[in-house]
Amino acid sequence: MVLAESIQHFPLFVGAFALAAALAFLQVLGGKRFRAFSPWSAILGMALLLVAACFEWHGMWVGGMAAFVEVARWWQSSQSHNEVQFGFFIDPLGILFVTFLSLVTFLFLAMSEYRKSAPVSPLTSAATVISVVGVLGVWISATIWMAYLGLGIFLIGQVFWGVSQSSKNIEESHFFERSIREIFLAMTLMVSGSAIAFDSSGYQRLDVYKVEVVTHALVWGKALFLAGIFVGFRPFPFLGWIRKLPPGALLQRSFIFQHLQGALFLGFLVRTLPAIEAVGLRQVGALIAVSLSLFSFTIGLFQRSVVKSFVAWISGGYLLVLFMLFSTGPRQAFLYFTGVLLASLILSRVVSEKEQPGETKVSATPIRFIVILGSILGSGGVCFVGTAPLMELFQSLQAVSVELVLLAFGFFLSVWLVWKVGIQALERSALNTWTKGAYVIVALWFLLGLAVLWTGSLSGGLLWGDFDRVGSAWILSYFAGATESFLDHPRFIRATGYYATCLILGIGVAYGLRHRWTILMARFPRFWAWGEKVLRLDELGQNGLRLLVQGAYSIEYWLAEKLIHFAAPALVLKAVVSMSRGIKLSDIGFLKAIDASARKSIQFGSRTLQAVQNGDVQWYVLMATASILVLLGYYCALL
Amino acid sequence: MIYLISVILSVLGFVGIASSQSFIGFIVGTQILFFGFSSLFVFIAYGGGSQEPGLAFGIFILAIGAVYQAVSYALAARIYQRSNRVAISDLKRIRN
Repeated sequence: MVLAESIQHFPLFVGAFALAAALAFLQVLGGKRFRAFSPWSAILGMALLLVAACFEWHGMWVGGMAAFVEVARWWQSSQSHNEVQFGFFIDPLGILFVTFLSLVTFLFLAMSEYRKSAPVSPLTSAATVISVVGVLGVWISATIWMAYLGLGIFLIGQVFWGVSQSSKNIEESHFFERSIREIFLAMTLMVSGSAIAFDSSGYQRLDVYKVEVVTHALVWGKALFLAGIFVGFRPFPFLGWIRKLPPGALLQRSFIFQHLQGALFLGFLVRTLPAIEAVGLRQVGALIAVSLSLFSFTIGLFQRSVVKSFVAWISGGYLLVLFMLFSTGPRQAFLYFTGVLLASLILSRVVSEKEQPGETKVSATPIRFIVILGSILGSGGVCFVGTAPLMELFQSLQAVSVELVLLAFGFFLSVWLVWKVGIQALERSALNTWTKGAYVIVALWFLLGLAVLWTGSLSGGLLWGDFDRVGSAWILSYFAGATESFLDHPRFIRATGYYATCLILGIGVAYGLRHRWTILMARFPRFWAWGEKVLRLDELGQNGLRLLVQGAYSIEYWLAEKLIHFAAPALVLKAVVSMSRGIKLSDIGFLKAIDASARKSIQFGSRTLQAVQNGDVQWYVLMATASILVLLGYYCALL
Repeated sequence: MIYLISVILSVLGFVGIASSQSFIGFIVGTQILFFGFSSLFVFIAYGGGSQEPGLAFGIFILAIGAVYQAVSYALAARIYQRSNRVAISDLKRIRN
């Protein structure tokens, strides 16, 4: 990749960002007059971003796919690490993500328009747009300050979103308060960690970051940063919010709290990846990510409610994305992210149908197709976008046995869980909320998820020799590295074997256990209950914190009471009172003495002066001025 | 250019002295005038002149100014005691 230091042109979508954000802010703050246009102004904002991204694509196509950086120094000092720099890093991956996310959000907002069951308020759509602008700001950041700016905009969007939803009832407002607290925690950890870790050795641009000296600050910063990442991805301990998730709200909430947050933190990591590599976080991060994803999938398997299983699957899927980012690179992570995001959008449309107990419905044929295709897409199945990164990972990780086993197990659990969710959803979805528009948008999502669009290969790189390549996809000129891994035949065959085994085993287990799973659940209720109970673990921490705070308050209260009623009068107050009396007396006397002496001295002086002066004070000044001028002349003659 | 500041201060001081009817205004004008002159010496000293004499003159003028202020304020207090107002014209009345 060639990096051009100079500014080629002002990135167009920076302007589009500003415009989209301004539209959204107008909608939020502008009162009823602007809300009359909604939610079309939010959709218009997304369309603007999309058009700008297409222009950028054209520019990049003409410029030969060279990434360029534009850094604006905002405040400069003599030391380089004190600079505040806002820079845009425009590379194919960034533009691709901008295009993709604006398209998905555009369709998401449009689809919400087609929904009868849960109409979206104008505030909600505006807040979604603000959040998306924040995410995209992080994705095109060249400096850490730009990434922080994106995080800030995202947080504002989240707060607006919470405000727009919390007016419904008290439980909703508790939910949003909690979720915003969590994202704030994640951001604080990440920002402070990254500021400590990356600043301790002096940094300017994230893509050319180097570590010279390993310091204590670096180690602490790394630890905080890593903690922030994992809180931001909402792995298991932060999944407690799904316990009170109403089924109708799944689509909205998982979009805001999982997809957008996942995209945000993924963007932060993609942009800071050179820095993360330089401080030596990659391998640790990969292992933590894959372990947490295994845990999330397992939690999902033990949920009774299909919605909870599904949300746990999304969380685990994003952690797998994180694992791919750390172990191979941003390209694979992006492709798998695309698959998970699209599949979860498609499936959540089906899963979020309201559950009606005691009534089992058999779905119509189109819904069956949608669910089956969505499950294939989500599990990284053949012909869809998730195949390529998985194949590459299976090939590249063969030297690292621990990570290979963890990946295979994670992939298997992911397939199992998403098919379990799909099969459960099939049994109870109805057609009454589906309109033609919804079908069109779901079809578009499927199209976006096709492997051929992203990799140029029909099967997604599953076949040896690459003879199913229908032409080099235009995105491929950036993703060209994909073909290099097809050189080693035995390794390729082994990778195909791992992939196929996990996929088939996962689908088989999900299908084979579809009835037995519920029977097992009924037979061993105590064992299965842990799946529900384990979600309350996060409450343990919260309650612990609450107890701690209450304890501190009560101790403080007790101390204050005792001090004021018993100890203070005897010891402190008396001393203070006597001291203040003494000070008061001496103070007044002192002041009086000063006053009197000043008055006397002035009276004496003025009486004397009164006799001496002749009344023409102007003459004194004139004489003084004249003598000063003489002095000045003398001084100037000295020079 | 920096000498201009001193000149402006001195001119302001003169204007204050000339235009003021009140003795307090007169004192303030003198204060500004002296400050302007003393700063002129300081600026010349730092702008390439010999430093020690310049600074010495500046401090001297400032000291003279301070004494002048003290005397003037004492007289102002005396005028106020006698006639309940502080006008320059009253200075002649309190003579002797």
